[in-house]
Amino acid sequence: MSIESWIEILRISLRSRNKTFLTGFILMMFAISLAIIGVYLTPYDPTKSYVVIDGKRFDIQPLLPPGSKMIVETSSGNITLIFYLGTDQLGRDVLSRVVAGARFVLLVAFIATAISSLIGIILGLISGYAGGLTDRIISLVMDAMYAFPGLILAIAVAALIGVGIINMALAIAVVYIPSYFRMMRGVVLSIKSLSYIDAVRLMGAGSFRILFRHLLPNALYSVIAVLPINFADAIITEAGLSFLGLGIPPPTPDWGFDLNRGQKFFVSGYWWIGAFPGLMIIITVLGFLLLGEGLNDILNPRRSVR
Amino acid sequence: MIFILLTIVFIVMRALPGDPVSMLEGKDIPEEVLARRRAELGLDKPLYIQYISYISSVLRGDLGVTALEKVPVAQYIAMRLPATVELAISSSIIAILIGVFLGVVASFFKQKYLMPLARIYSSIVFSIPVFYLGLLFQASLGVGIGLFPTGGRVSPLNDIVLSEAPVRTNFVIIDSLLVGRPDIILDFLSHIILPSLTLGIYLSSIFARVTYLSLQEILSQEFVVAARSRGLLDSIIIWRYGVRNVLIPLTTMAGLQIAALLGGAVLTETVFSWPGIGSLVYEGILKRDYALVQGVVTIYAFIVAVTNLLVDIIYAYVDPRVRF
Amino acid sequence: MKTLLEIKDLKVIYEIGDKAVEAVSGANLNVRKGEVLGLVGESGSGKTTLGLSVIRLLPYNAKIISGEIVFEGEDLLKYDEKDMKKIRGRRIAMIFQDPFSSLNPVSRIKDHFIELFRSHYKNISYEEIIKRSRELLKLVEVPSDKLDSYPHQLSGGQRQRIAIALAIALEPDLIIADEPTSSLDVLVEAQVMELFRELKRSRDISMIFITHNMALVSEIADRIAVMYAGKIVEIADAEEIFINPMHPYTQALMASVPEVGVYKKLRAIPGEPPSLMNPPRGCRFHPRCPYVMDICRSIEPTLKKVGDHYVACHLYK
Repeated sequence: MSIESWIEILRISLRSRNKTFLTGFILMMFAISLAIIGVYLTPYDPTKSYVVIDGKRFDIQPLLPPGSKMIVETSSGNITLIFYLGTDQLGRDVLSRVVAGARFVLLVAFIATAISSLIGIILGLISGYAGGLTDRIISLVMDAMYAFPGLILAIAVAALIGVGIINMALAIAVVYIPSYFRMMRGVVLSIKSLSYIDAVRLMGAGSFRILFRHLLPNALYSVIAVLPINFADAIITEAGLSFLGLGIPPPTPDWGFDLNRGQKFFVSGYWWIGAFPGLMIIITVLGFLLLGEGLNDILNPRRSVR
Repeated sequence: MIFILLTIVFIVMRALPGDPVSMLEGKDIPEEVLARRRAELGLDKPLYIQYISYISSVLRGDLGVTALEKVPVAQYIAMRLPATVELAISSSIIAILIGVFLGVVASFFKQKYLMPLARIYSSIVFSIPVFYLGLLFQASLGVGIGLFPTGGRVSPLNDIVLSEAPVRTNFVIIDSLLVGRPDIILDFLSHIILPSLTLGIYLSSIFARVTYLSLQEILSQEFVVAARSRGLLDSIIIWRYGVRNVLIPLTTMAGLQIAALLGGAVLTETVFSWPGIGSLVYEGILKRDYALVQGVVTIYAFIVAVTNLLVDIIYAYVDPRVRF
Repeated sequence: MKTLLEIKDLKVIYEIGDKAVEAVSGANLNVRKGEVLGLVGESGSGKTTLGLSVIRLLPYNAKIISGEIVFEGEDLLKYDEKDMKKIRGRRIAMIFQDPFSSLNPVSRIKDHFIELFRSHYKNISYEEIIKRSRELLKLVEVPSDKLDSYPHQLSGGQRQRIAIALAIALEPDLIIADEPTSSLDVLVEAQVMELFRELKRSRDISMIFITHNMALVSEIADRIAVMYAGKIVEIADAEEIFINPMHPYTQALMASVPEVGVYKKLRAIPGEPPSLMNPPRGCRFHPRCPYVMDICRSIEPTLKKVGDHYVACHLYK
């Protein structure tokens, strides 16, 4: 649980030659850096369809293909504006939207994952440790939630509590709670039967202490196995939600939303509006997915198949 | 199981803090209208009464009425369910074909480079949002090359023809035969290809991975080696040792697939304007029709519960260790 | 006595990653008709690989690169898979270590027999199969109502007996038993060993009994071959080897066998079995041998006849 163990894990993973992990790591870092520093690098405001230079407002032409240039006349001479990925139907720079979208999407996914992992892990701890009727009831509810299609569950929650970053995160979080619950409960059950827990009990350790000091650290490896993959899935769910219109309302840049808008224009030939956000989704999700699988391989090596 | 699901749906849709009516319908609508809607949905009554009326009306088959047209939701759903079933079947077929094929190939050709193939495939497919895949297909094969139509189930003309069937089952194959126009089936097939491919590929990733892993495990199991040591015929080994044992994880996976299928259907149907219950959800969201959304979600809960039950039954049949 | 099986200079490698590891490095031994040959060695000595090579069921990353396996006059290594299928079960049968994983979890016991008989005899009737299965179960002392059970419903001892029944069902000429009692508890092990002895008496079976347990093998073997790091280091009659172990490794094995009623200092063999990726030069046992000489470090000893033993050791010329 300590920082040292996290760093150690990171170091081992980076040093390993596991291609999956490294690919994932690179992709993930790409996405994260886009999110964090990208906004400072984007040339244009992703929510505005015009630029202001020297106090004068210039409207950007919509539906420009990638690589287009626009020349504006200002008092200080002619300035060329380049739109590397084109502009969307309202005249906003696609590149800027894609980059800004990263920040938003990752934020939502992060909050959702934090909430769902916290709740799921705590519930799993309690359920696994307590056993008996409590365990059965909670497990039953979790199983039902797990069986339910994730997107639909998110839709149901989102329809109820409305839009907004936190709300979206909550809606998505609900979907993944069972996953963390299951994993945690499994770990607790397998460890609970180990005799050393009995030994600790005999020494007089109270329940809470056992839970936190002994069970939790052992679950760390399992959490790491599941978390990045769920994170990746959360991004997909978020995209799905906003594609269907349950995401943040415009003009906030969001990949899923842009894909929805982009669909109508895809057919007419303006493919770049939807294509690039979609591409970013793939890259980001793949990044986290491979990261998670790679970590899993490194930390929990599978028995070799003869 | 069903009750648990319904209860969850209820909790999620009613009991959580938040007002669905104002959320969906917007804040500009005058308060009386909102209040009326709430009364219609029964949201003004205390929770436990809501719960009881919800469960009882669901069991009766009454899912409420749509906000706008006041058409019973259940009717809407019944009308559009066959379309989703059609899509589900065709996508599943594609998914199984691709997935199992990949899984079997990858495990029988044990070359090093083929082994992670299934894994790479399923990773990539997982990362592509299903609606993006649909868009790509639409753009490339639909509009770009113009090979397949990009939306709808049958062309509008044919749709009118079909609506004159004496008994409208809403299954295109049946209806077109009833109307005496089997050629509509061809039209139908050309419409269903793109959405099925989309949804099918989306689903196949799980199939591929599970088939591959399971087969690998099974084939390396000692009981297969032992079976070979007894000189058993290949056909017996493949069938009774391979297939019979792979059914076990496959069945579990089938259960998972249903959930993915339902979720994916919503997105796929929306992209391709396929008139099933998936796109109904989207319409409900667009139209701010809460009763509709709730109704469809309820049906989903039913479907999930029923299929899980079926899966459990099949599983018990397939794995004797569970029975005894 | 006629020679049933003769293994000459067998070399088997495993491909791990991009390296090749020699699991069996030039093994020589033979099995006579009607005898039980005990094959003794530590884990990793290559004994299981040897057994699997005879019946040709090695894992896919293993390869037999040289040698001959002559069974009743024919070199099995020249047989293709089609021919081997005819041999397996019918003329050579195998019993595995873990009885649970040698039976199909989704098949009933009677199904196992049906599969077996139907695979080898096309026209045998269902009744005939059941009749023979009952007889076999009686022979291995398993109640015949277990025919309708699934493997997970039976105890470990019962499962192993059924595995034995399946192995002897077609009256093969040779049975290879790979650690057949290692996963059974002591009492059950004793019962199964008694069963083996009974089968030996009544059916005169020829068997290769593979084990790491010196004490166990003495209960059943006529001759014993000792294997170390992929090589056969000593072969002799069972009694001979116990009274007069010649190879230092064999001697060390004897010293580590507890004897009831005898106060003996149990001595573990110092050192560890060598890594087969990088075997020691010369005699593979030399790093742990108490009698090591200079020549042992550079030249590998070959298996030579010394009196009525075969030994591979520079101590004997």
